[in-house]
This record gives sequence, structure tokens and C-alpha cells, in this order.
Amino acid sequence: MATDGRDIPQDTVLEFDVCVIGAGAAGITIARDFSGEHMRVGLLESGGFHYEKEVQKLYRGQNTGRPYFRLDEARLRFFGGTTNHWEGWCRPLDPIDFDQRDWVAHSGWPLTREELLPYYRRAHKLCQLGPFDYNPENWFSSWDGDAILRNSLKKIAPTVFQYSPPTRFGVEYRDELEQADNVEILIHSTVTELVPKRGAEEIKIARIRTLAGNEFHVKADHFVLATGGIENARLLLASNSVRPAGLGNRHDLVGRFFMDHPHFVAAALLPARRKLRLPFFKRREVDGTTVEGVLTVPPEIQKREMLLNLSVQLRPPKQLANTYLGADDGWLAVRDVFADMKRGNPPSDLARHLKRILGDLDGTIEGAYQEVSGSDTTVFPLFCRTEQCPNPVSRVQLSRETDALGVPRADLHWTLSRQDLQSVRRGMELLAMEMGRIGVGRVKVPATVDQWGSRIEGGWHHMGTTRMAHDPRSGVVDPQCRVYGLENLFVAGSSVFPTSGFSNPTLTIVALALRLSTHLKRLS
Amino acid sequence: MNSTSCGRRGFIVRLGMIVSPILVGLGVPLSSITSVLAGARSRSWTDGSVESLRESLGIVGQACSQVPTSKPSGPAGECRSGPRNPPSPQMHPEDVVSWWVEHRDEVLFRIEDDFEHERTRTVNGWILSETEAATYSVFRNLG
Repeated sequence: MATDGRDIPQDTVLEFDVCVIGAGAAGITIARDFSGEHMRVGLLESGGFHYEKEVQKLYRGQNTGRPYFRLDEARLRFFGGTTNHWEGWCRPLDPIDFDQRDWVAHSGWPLTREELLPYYRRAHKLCQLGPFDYNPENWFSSWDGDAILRNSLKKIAPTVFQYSPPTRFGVEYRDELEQADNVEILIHSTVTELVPKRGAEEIKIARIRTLAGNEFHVKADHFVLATGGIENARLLLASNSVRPAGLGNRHDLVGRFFMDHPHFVAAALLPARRKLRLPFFKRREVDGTTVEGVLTVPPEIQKREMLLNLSVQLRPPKQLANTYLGADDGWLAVRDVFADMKRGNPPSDLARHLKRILGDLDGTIEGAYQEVSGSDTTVFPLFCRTEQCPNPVSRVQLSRETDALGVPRADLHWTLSRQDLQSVRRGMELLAMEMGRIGVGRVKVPATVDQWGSRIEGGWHHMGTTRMAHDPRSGVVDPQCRVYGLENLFVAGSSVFPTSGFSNPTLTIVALALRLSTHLKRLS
Repeated sequence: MNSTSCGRRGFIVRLGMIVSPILVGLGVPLSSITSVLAGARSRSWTDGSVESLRESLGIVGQACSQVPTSKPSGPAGECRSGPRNPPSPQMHPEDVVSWWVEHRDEVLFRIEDDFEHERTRTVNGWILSETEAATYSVFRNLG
């Protein structure tokens, strides 16, 4: 059954056994897993079944850290959530991603990959993927031009991603949920605050408002917050009428440790042969499953070199002069200005860029000339998707501005550390040595890691802001995703990830959601 | 060696002649302009592929992954009969070329071995084996 929150009379109180806030990949997975059970589930969605501009505006926020996407473009607020623009990349986290690593501060999950494995397998079905198999040998048995990659690599290793069609969770599972007797979908119902009982460690009600102006409440035995990596923190911080610091924030951890996967061209490969063919990196369909190869650093090398996890992909060939790796500082400054403008931002630090342009005028002119004319040095850009260190300074806070429903907007301060960049740099060196050793080609890296600068973007993967840990001084939620200090509030989604690996988060989000719904069923 | 810079030189000089009076008027340092007019600087170390680097080393036709017949026995990097030092920048150009031709197998081995044992140097951002890096400096002097 589906109800439009705008039609619910003012001050109505609805009651459920389980109230799931947010109908994205995590929320839909949990509600669907309860389908047919004896418990009544309310699935609350701020948007409708389709995109609406006014609802999307509730996502507006500010970026005060390193350049990032507009917050109302980096996610979607309607039934199905951000899966509505998901590209479909799937891969589980690696075992090493769950480990406590001496060289990565704040690393270590309170569970192992082994424990998550059965849920990963179930998640595979929900994401409409092929068999749970990420061994490249099993997918690329016919690597025609890639024997050299398959047989010779030591310090780097091939691995694969699978592709979901992609599953639009809202489209794919809507009918099933609407037909479930025990599930009620409430659209246009935005939770503006979770109100705890005074003197007790549980949530009393969820306060809900709509853009039509009415307000109502939901009571439930268990609440699950599943609104995404930025909104989960925002709502906990904004739920401050009883606890001024917000919910679950006794140790000032809510919103901290925000992570994304830095995405950028970190280096370029000059091939040994003019016509280098590496079909391994091409997306292909094998027995109905779409797969694509990437290179990564094996765990033993990560340990030895004290590296973060990392993946590298060959991008289609380009002329070196048309990459930043082949350009001089003056021309790079011009490109930096254009990059800011392309993102819709005014050029940052314009005076400094102008100084760079005028100080390297010949490089600027030459870069412009090469941009127009091209040169004959063809390289393959090496595109990295990497892990970043959990960092308490990288965080989501509340802005002074409020949205149309009176909730403070999110203020995202995304930060990368020197270690994040140095780790990629070393990863590129290892790759360069392997490419040289096996005769594939030579690799060019920028002179300093600072040259990556504003070229580093995120992947719209918002993680870490309500991290999972064994004790409340290190995390916001316990190993069962329950918020410390609140008996009946749970968190689903990538905000609970203590570390991120390099794999896209959706498959792990769905696996953790299945694990949480299993836990909630046991509690009930 | 610098084929990419040759074609654009005339263009930049012409462009510089047109815009330099304006730029000087705007207070741009004359040194920046003269460096443009002096010709495009050398940045490219090959004509576009590692093959051309190998060609310039005198190892035409051999793939880097191929194990040379003269590769010394024993654990890699411990027992080598190849040249201990690459040619120095002070050598006469003709001597350098003949040196490479004479030592091509040993050089090839050293390149592989350098990468294997992480004996690399970064030249203009390119991560090269020690052997290549030394060669690069020699050939740069030749150019």
C-alpha cells in the first residue's frame, strides 16, 4: 500500500513495528526483506515516485572543503533514491578492507568479510548480478591480447567489477512492496526530527513534515535511518531538541570521517607498441553478466608498502599534450580555471592562477597551440579509484541555512590527507615498474602530488559519517548498526562504513541492509 | 628526438611577434616572451612510443619482455656480466651509439632487471629504469 503524506491529517500518529526512513537501496532492501512477515513496516520517502524539483532542493547544501559536486546533484531524493542515477558498478570489499591496518589510522571493521559473505550473495540477486565470482580468470578465459597481464604481474593484480543493469530499486521493487500486506509506503513524507524519550535511551517518535505544510508523527518499536551518507548524519545532528549535540553524538563523532573514493587520472601509460590492445579493460558481457577488468595492488604488497587500497583502469588513448601530464604550469592554470567554471563555480583563487599564467606565458601559449593542433605522442590515461584514510577532519556539519522544512542544511567539508595522495603516487610507481618489466610501456606521473589538485573528484560515494565500531568512543553505531545510547535506532547505508576500500559501495550497502533486517527480525 | 617541437616553432614565433609588443605594454616580463621566440622547448623524449626509445638505444626489434640470450645465470641482480656503467654524457656521440650496439643484450637485461629490483629514476615525470635514465641524459645531450 502507498499513501501520500500530504493527504495525512495534521498531527496524526501512525504506528509501525519497524519504521524505515528513506527508500533508497538500503531502505527498500530492508522493507522488502520484511515483506510477508508478521511485523508492520512503514517505509518513509521524502520524495514521490518520480523526480520533483522542489523536493530535490531539500538536498541543497554547501561545500566548505576541497571542491566537490553540488550536494543536490550528487544524490537523488525520490523513491529508489540514488539508485535512480546509479551506473551499476558492483564489487564486494576486499578482506583487507575489513582489517585493522597499522598504517591506516582508524581502520578496522568490527566484522569480517567472511561474516558478510552470505549477505553479499543475497545482495547479488537484488542487484541483478551474475554469480558471486570476482576471480578474473573465470571471466576472461579468452583474454586474447592480455596474456602478459595474466601471467606476468607481481606487484599489481587484475580484478573485476560486475555491472548491475543497473537495478533501479524504486522501479524494480515498487510493485512488490505496494502489494505486501504488512508494508506501507509513505511518499512525500520527510522526517525532520527523531525525538528521543526524555531520560530514556530510545526514540519516541519521528516528526514528519511535507512541503504541503502538514505535519504528522510515526511511532515504532524500531527505527532504521537509511537516508544516505550525508543525510544520515544531518538528521542525527538536526535531531537536537532534547539532546543539543544531536543523537548518538556523545563523543562528537556524528558527521566525522566523511569519505568518498577519489577518482582521477593519476598518470599516463606510453605503450611499447603503437597499437596496444588490452581488452581486459573493456566492458564485456560473459554469459549474460557484464564485467570489466581493473588493476589493483595485492594485499601483501599493500602491507609491505603501507598503501591504501587502489584500482587503476586504462582510459581510451589521448594525446599526451592534451592531458595535464603533458602540459606546462601556465596552461594547467588555464585548465584549472575552466574546470571550476565547468563545475558551475566561480574560479577559485583567480589571482594565483593569473600569476601562474603570466609567469609561464610560453607554456600557456604552447599548451593552447597543442590543444588545437594535437601532437603525435599517444598515451593511455591511467584512471584511479582509490581508498581514502578515515579522517575526523573530513566531515558533515549543519549549516546555518535551513531548507524549506526548517531543517539545517548540510555543510560538507571533504578533506584528503597527504597519505591519501602519497599512497596513490607509490601505487603508480609500482604500476610503472611492472609495465616496464613486462614490456607494456612506460608511465608518466606528475612532478608532485599537488599537481593532481582539483583534478581529484569524488564518486558520489558518501561514506563513514556514522561509522561502525566496537565501542562508542570510536564509532556512532555498534556492530549491529544500532546507534550507541539508543536502544531502538539503527542506521543502514554507507555512513556506517569505517573504511571504504576502492569498490563502489552499493553492493556492500545492500549486503549490510540484509544483515540488519535479519537482526531486526530476531529482535522482534 | 624532438619532432613535436619542430612543427610548432614557426607558429609560436609568429604569434610571439604579433603579441609581444602588446604584452610588453602590459608589463609582462620580457624574459618570458623571448623564451617563446627562442623556439619551443624540448619536452618530448621520443616520437610517441617506447619503441622509438628502444630504437634510439640500438635495440630495434626486441621486445622488452623477451629474455636476452646473454642473460647471466644465477639469481637476478646478483650475478651480472653486463656493463656496470652506462655511457656517460661526456662520451662522443658516435661512441655512445656503438657502445649501445655492442652491449644491447646486456642493456636490455639491465632494463628488465632495473624494473624488477626497483632501480628506477623519474625523468621529466617518466618513470624509467636506471639504465634508461642514464641513456636519456646522454641522448638529450646529443639533441
